[in-house]
Amino acid sequence: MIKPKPFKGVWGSFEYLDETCSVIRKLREQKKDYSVLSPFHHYELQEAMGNPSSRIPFITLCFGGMGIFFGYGFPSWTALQWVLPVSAKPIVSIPPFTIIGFEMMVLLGGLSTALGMFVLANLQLRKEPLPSSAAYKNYGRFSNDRFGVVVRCGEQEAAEVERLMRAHSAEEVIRESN
Amino acid sequence: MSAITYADVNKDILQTMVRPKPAYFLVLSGAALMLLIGVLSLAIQIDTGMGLVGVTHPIGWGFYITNFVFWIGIGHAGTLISAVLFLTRAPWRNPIYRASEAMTVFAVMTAGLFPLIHVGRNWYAYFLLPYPNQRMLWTNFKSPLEWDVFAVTTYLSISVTFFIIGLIPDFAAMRDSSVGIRRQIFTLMAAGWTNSYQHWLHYMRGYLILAALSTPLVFSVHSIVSFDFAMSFMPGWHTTIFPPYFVAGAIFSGMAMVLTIIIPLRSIFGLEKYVTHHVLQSSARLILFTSFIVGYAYTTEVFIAWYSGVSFERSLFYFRLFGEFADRTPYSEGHQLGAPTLAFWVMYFCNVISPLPLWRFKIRNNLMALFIISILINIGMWFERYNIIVSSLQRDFDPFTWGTYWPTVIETGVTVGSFGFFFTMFFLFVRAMPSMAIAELKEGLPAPRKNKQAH
Repeated sequence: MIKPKPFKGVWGSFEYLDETCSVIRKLREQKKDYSVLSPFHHYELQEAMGNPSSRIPFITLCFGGMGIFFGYGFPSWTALQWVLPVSAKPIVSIPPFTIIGFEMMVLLGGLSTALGMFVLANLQLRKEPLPSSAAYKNYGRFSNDRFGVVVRCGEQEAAEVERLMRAHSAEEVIRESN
Repeated sequence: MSAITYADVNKDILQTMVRPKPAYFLVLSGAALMLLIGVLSLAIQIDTGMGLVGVTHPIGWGFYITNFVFWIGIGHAGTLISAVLFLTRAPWRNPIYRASEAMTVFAVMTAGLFPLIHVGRNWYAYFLLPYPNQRMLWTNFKSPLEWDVFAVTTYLSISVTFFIIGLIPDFAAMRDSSVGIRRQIFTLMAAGWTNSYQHWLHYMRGYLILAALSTPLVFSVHSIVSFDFAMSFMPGWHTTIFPPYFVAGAIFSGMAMVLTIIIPLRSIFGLEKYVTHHVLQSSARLILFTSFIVGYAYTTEVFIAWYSGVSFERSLFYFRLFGEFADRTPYSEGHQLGAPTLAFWVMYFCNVISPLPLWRFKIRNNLMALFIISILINIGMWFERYNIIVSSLQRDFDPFTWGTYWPTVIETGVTVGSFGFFFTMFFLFVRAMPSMAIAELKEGLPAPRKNKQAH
């Protein structure tokens, strides 16, 4: 199990979406290590972050493909295990097995997608930790009505990041070093 | 919704879980009573045996399979709203999609009970699952009944997954706004959700893929259920129109059920500013559209029966519409107005005639009218399933094998109980979890901006 890195840096909360996006764009230009928090998904925030990609589709493709393989392969195998000829119908019959193949593709693809979301996000959070202080945990407004920016940086950069956040109407700016 | 802020959304939706009006408990008690009737009826059936129900040779499928098909259909609107309307970016779905998804889950759970009840000896229900006997003979994967097992279990699994995934950001909102034991419970249910883009990014990508997978699933499940009938060669069943006809009917009945539950929910919990008239109007338009497809299917069925020239098809449809050939008047001596005939005309009135007033804006804007129409459609769609299933079995190819079917008190009790089960589950859900998607409602609000000129 990968241990999360300890957090060291600055976090700030914002009321306005446009100001949050401006801070994100500047942090991206400066190649800072940052995370963004929001009560819901907003495409402007994602665009400001440079449209990062997710590997979820790859997981779905792999498991969906496995589902198709299983859905055709398993009924074919059972049909060949005990051959039951019915009039002149083929023993391994593709059209009816297509239904099993389709359902298995959706089932495995869907379940792996749901699981993959959390596995990928948690792996990423281990590499890019969020603050773990009581002040951060009890803040609670990132699921309500505030946007947030978390920057992982050393003491020297922290002052510069704090200035940037305050210049863009940050409501609260907190420096942490766990 | 321009005057509503993000904080208002949290406050308004979370308050539905705190203190409901007395009307809520009244509705819940009614549903629980219906459930009790169903449980008692089922207990008697299990204790005594299948002899207590009306299904017997030649009508092997009666109320229970009717209920199965009906409830599977009801579930379709939830997936349509959560997946198809998500992909087509229809913003009016946001306030009703959570309740619709819950409706899907509970409807498919209800539907799933019926094959188990129908098999009679419920302790052998596992026979449905694909597993080999002692001599390694597997289930028949070429049978539509086996396809049903795969289709319904996949549909239930994906619907539950979709439902739970959608709830997780809202559990995080509940975690952040609660204290004590509730906070601990919601922390567990939020599965470590942080509201960070490490989560949102994968979540939105995954949600899009789940929606893309669920969309063909919506159309496939009821198509596969229709194959239970269409793959046979019974008159009235053996027709290629069944898959689209069943899917349209499923969406039609599901949307009607959405209105049946959303309209009381809206007034009990005071959610008028979210479930606006625009949302209800849009649902009504979808109902009207699917009503035309269903009406077209009814007409086509009868036309094809006549045009095919097959005497069995022709006589079956005559039987469905008007009863026995010999008895042309409903009141002639010895005539019984047969259940299929009654079912056909109730179905036709409820599904084709009763939605017609929805053409008028005033009717679509009238909550009571919408509610009544939605209930009529639910009744009509139940009778549609009954009409398809029972009438074909009553009039086979050979008059020697003809028969009649009348449901018993036990079957009726279990049917009432299925509605009780569905509504009890649903009304318990609205009390225990957010009945509207908090995160998605916020998407529909204008974001707060410092520089208002820029947008």
